[in-house]
Amino acid sequence: MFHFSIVLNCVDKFLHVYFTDSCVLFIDFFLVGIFILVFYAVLALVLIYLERKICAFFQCRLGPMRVGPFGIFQPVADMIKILLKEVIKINGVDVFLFRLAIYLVIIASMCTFGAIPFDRGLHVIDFNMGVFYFLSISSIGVVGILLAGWASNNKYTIIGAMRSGAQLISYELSCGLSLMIIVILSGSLKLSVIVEQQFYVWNIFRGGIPTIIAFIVYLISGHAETNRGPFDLPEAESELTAGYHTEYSGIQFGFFYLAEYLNMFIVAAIASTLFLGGWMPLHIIGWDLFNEIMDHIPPIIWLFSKIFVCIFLALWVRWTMPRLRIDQLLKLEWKILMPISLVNILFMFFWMMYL
Amino acid sequence: MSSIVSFMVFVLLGVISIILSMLAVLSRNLFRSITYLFLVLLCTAGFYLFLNYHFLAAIQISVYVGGVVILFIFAVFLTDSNVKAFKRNRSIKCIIATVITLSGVLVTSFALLNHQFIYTNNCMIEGDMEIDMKLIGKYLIGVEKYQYFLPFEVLSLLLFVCIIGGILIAKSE
Repeated sequence: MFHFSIVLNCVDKFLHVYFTDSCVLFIDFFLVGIFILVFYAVLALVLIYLERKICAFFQCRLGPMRVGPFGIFQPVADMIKILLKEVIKINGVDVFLFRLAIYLVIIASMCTFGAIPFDRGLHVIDFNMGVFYFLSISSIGVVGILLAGWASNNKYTIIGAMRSGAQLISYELSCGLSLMIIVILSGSLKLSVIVEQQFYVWNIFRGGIPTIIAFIVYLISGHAETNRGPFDLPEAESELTAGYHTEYSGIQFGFFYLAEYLNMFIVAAIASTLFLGGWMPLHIIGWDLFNEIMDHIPPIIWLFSKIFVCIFLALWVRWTMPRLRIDQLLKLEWKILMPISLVNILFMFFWMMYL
Repeated sequence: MSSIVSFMVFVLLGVISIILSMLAVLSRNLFRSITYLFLVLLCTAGFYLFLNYHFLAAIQISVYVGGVVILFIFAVFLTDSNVKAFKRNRSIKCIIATVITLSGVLVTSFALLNHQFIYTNNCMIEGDMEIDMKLIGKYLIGVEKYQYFLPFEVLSLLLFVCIIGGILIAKSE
């Protein structure tokens, strides 16, 4: 079984030969930072290409075809365009808050990105309170969005930010409650422990009906948290031009765009880590040969295939459902999803005790 | 982490949080002072992380940053942005405020200087000593000595009453 932790240990040992301990620590931090930044940006390019292609297929189009074979260099061209674009100065804007908002959004998304376990030992930090860390750190992004809306000095952006804030705060509740189901099931908040526990049976099958309900609730509310699909009314283009990031241009807009795509990835990654076994291959009790074969597929491929299945589900929903109105959106959360997830927690207790 | 590095991090966090909290109070723009307050609260979470209280840091971020600051921002959104309360106020209030602040500073510094600090918790130097979440959970709803079942339940009752009060206010009719 190949794990990335072997590579990491080799690098660490190699560095220890030439440098002192504190120096190695510093270099490690530096390398991890560079790696995360590069991975973040490259992943965004892949996601943009995938989304454009899949959306095109849903609408019986071909999608990007001109740049490179099957248009695979289209996102690179887009990236170069967005990097070269002029950043427009806007009158009457609180420049400090206007700039700060972008960084808050991207920092929140990057902090969550770092805590995802990609493989055994391949995560930036493995807190004891891992699941709770996801929930808490992602709330910084809401502040960023609200700041962006207010600092832009524009009525449409304020309306967009208000909607977005209301949406994110309310959907965070059912998001957190459905993740708590997994915490009850596995008895730990630590992500590496949760993944290791799913060696034979993934959590979604281990927990029975309550976890399946929680998985569906999490997919819906997580999808709403990314401001996409049927829940994209913070940036409803027919009403609000582009919502809270109307006034941003060039790379500033690019940051919002990047964070939005990566949030989609992060939600899918959390869903697949907690419910679908993370980087664990598919194992079936008793089928030793089958398990052996499955172990030969690298864990990172397992994780990414699970994540892309979740992303595909999100895109599917996006092109199937019509956009909700703001009152329908809040009703869906407060009157349907939250009661379901609250009752589901009780159900989970009974399931754990009596079954 | 070596002790020098951790000391440097501590000093950096302290200086930044002092500057930001000064800015939060002195800023003329309501929205800016909320932003500075938000950054101060993040710095506080940094202190908790520094002490290896990871759980408390996450609580700090999710309650204060995710809840209180957003509530403030919504309050600013929903009220008149041209607040007149920010005009310079040279009345007796200034004197009272100064006296209260100075007495607070005096009391705190007196307590700090007189207290003999004992370093029982050396995790700052020893590094990774994260508290297990199961321990925190058991202490929060344990009924033995030094466990916090009663406060926990009383607080949940308080929150329940708050929710009912909120619904009553919102209903109004």
